[in-house]
This record gives sequence, C-alpha cells and structure tokens, in this order.
Amino acid sequence: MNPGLPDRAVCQLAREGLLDFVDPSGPTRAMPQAFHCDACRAWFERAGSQARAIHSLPRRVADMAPLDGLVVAELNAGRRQERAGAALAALQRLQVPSELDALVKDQLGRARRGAPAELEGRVALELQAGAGPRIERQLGRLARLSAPAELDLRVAGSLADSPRSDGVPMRRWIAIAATLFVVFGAATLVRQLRDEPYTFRVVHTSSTASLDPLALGQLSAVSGVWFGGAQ
Amino acid sequence: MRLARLALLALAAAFAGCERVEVTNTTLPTNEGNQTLTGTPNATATLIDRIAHARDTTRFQGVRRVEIHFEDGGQPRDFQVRERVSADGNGAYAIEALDVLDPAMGDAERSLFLTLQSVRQGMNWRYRDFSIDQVQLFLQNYRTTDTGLTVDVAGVSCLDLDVERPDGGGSIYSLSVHSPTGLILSSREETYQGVLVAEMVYESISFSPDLSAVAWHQSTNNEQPLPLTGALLGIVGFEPRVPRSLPPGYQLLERSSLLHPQDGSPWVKATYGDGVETLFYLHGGPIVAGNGINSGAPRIEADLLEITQTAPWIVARGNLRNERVIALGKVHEDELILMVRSAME
Repeated sequence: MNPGLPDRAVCQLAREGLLDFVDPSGPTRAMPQAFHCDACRAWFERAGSQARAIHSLPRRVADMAPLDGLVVAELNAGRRQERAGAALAALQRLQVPSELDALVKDQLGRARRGAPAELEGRVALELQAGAGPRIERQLGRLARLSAPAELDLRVAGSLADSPRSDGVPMRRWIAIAATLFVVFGAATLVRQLRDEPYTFRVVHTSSTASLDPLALGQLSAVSGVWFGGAQ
Repeated sequence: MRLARLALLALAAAFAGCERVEVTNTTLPTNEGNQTLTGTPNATATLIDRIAHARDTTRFQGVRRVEIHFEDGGQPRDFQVRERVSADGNGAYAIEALDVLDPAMGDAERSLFLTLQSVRQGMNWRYRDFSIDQVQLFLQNYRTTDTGLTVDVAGVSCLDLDVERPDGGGSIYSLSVHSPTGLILSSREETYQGVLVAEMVYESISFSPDLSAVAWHQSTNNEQPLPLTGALLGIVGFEPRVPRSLPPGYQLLERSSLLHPQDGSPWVKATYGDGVETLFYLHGGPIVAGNGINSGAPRIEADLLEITQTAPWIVARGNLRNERVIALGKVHEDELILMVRSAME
C-alpha cells in the first residue's frame, strides 16, 4: 500500500475493484487484502457505511403504470395516439343517472330550436337556388391547370397541317345557334312579362231564374230537368 | 226467437251465394249463347260492350218512371215523369212523355210540358239517361262491380251492377242490366254523400213489341257539327278559345255550332265526356253590339264569372276578355272555373 500518495487515476481503478467487497446488508463481508492507499481505505469504509444506510431505508413500491408510460413516451413518442386510443378503449362504460339523460335531452332540444337567422337564410338560399351554386363552388375550387407548352405546339401543328374545310366551321354554327337561342329566349321572356295573368271576379247565385235562355236550355239538355216556361 | 234465427240464417245463406266481382271488358263472361232480339247476334261481346250499344241494337218498348232530384234557389226540387220508350234495334228511338208526376201542373202547363218533352227526347236519350258513351273512356274512368245479386225489374231478371269512378269523382250508379241484351232496366244515381240524384225504373217492357204506330225521333236540334280539330274562323266567324285544363277523366267528344236563341249570334259548343257524364263549354266569341251575357244577379259585367249552383249541376257564365263564355256540367266548381280560366289565359 502506498500510505500517502494517492494517485487519482490509479485510485479510481482500485476503488472500482473495492465495490465488490461492499455488503450493504451488514459489515463488510470480506476485507480486501490491500488498499491502494489510505485514502482508498477511507473511501471503502465510507462506501460501506453509505450502502448499509441506504439498505436500511424502507423500500417504497412505485406505481409502475405511469412510469412505464413515461418511459415509453420518452423512448417512443410517436405512438402516443395509439396508446391513448387503447387506454380509452380499455375504459369501462359507466351508467349515467337518468336525470342526466333528461338534462342532455333538454339542452339538445333547446339548441335545435334556435338556429341562427343567418344559417336559416343561407339554407333557404341554397334550397331555392338548386344545384347550380353548389356546382359553381365546386368548380371554382378546382385549380386551373395550364397545358404543357408541348401540347400547345402539337395542337398548333395539327391545325396547320389539317386541310381547311370549305363549309361553315362548327364553331360558327354553334355561334349562330347560340345567338338564335338568346334572341328567341329574350323574345319569349319579354312576351311572358307583357302577358300578365288574366284575372276575373267570381260571383255565386243559386237560382236558375237569372239564367239566359241559351244557358238554361243547355242546362236543361244536360240534366233532363224541366225548369218551367222560361225555356 | 227461433223464427228470427231462421230468418238470419236464410239471409246469411242468401248473401253467401253473392260475390262482388269487378267487371272489366276482358274478364267478363260473354253472352254465352244468348243473343239480342235484333237479329244481330253479339254473343262474343262483353257486358260493357253490350250495355254501351244495347239501346241501338235492341228492339224493345217499355214504360218507365224517371225522377230527378236537384236544388234550385237553395231549395230541393223534384222532377218525375212517366214515359214510353221505343227502339227498333237499328238506331231509331222515341221517348214519349205520358205524364208528369212531379211537380204538380195545371192542364195548360202539362200540355206544354208534354209537347216540349217530345221535342227534348233527343237530349234525354243522349244526356239524361245513363249510357256508356265511349267504351274505352268509360273503362278508363269507371269501375264496374257485379254485386252477384239478381234483381227482377218489370218481370225481367237482371244483373245488379255498381258503377263508380275510383278517383271519387262523379256519382255512384246502381244498375239493373238485362244481361242478354245489355239493356239497363233500372238505374239509381247517388252522390258520395248518399243523396239521391236520379232514378229510372222500367215498369213494363217488351222485347217483341208492335212498333208500327211509333213516331220515331227526328233531330230538331239547331246544332251543326263542326270538325273536332282545326281552325273554325272560316266557319263560325271567330276562333273559339279552347280550355287547356279539363276536369279529371274528361275528353273532347265533339264540337258543334249553334245560334243564340235571342240574338241569333253564333256560338261554338264543345262537348266533353268521361264515359258517362257530359260537360258543355260554349264560346260566343267577341261581344258585338252589346250582345254580351246581360242577365244575372248581380248583373254580369266585364271580367266577371257567375256561378249558378243547381246541385248536382253547376253553370258558369261570364263576359271574359270581352268574349262570351258558358260552361256547365256535373263537376266541382273549382274544376269548372279552372277549365274556363285555362281557356281565357
């Protein structure tokens, strides 16, 4: 033993070897045959005392579930949703009191009664307008794609190569048809706007005495009834 | 007690033998060897066909009672006559009014009535008496049910049929039909509320009559037939308005022209039918020289339609768009107004 010359690196190595002799349950089970130095002997005695002190403390049982969760969370943070789902699925459904049912029903009923006026208006507009606005919205959300330049070139080339028709192009026919459609549609609309619905008054009488001879004769014919000398 | 029980059993047994069967133009048994008395066998014709053509193909003569119940001025009125009907089986017929039973009349009025009835026999034959005007139209609109009962009318055994529109329109008819000929020997018309509208019962009938003394009906109608479709401007001087909306089940049957009995102005009359009932629509064209419909209470003015309820019939008259219009029939008021409105819009 080197009584007064501790060497830090050598002592560290010697003390790791001394750990095998520390017995926390009681006195040192076996003393090493030699110590590196006095400091190492003192360290060994302190280490034994500390081990015995720790060993004498009452053992506390840890709740392992949260601990496991924490450990897994640290080690595997990407699966939290699955664990949460599994934990929820494992929960047992509790019966709610009947009073709670009644309260929930009442609350929901109140909520249904009072739709905001704005919402009511929008729904009414949607129903009145039909499918047109919905289709327009859906089409409006579509991103317009631009044709590749190569496609443009090919179309241009194809048009240049194709023989020119002597007849009226289809586009011109479509334009003519569209013009006629607009003109006739506008004329019809104007005519409908001019033709206001015809209205007349209706009065009632229950006596045939006021009928003129033609009406009375026809009534007599269809009914076979004798209405007196008026005929 | 025993007697009552026996009577009940007898009644039950009688009804047990009766079964209501819907009559169609294809499911009905045919005449099965019977033949009409016209000499024209129609053994293959169905009952509906035989009913539709019986009056024109059956030679017969009988006396019958006809009663009609209606409302006028809000009061129930009854009309009841006894008349002799003759037919030669080849289309000729005659209805001779024998007596008026109701309302009570003095001698002079009775004579006038009997004279006018002979003039009106064509209308009575065609419109008043129950008849199937167009078989296909009738089959389309009406349901005929054989009650299974056999009834005796004027000593002749008859089938008991119920006729009504499945859509609840029109009236409910109970008919007693002489099966071999299809001739209707009694008819009863009721509303769906059970109000009796009309009843006809033969009190006597002969299928081998002596018809030598019969004065057959000659048409005295001043109506001139018009083409069913097409323009009429060149014929009557104006183009009549045509209803675009008709009561359910009705179809245009014919058009004719007639002159107003007072001013002689021309009118176009369109006759519509549902197979049994008849509906008239008359258009008098533009009002000329103040010849609009000028009676009525209140007075009929421009753009006013007067509805006269003579239940079960209804009359609509008006000067609409400065034109004269009359419509009448046994339909609902709303249907008649809709019909007139559809012609004027």
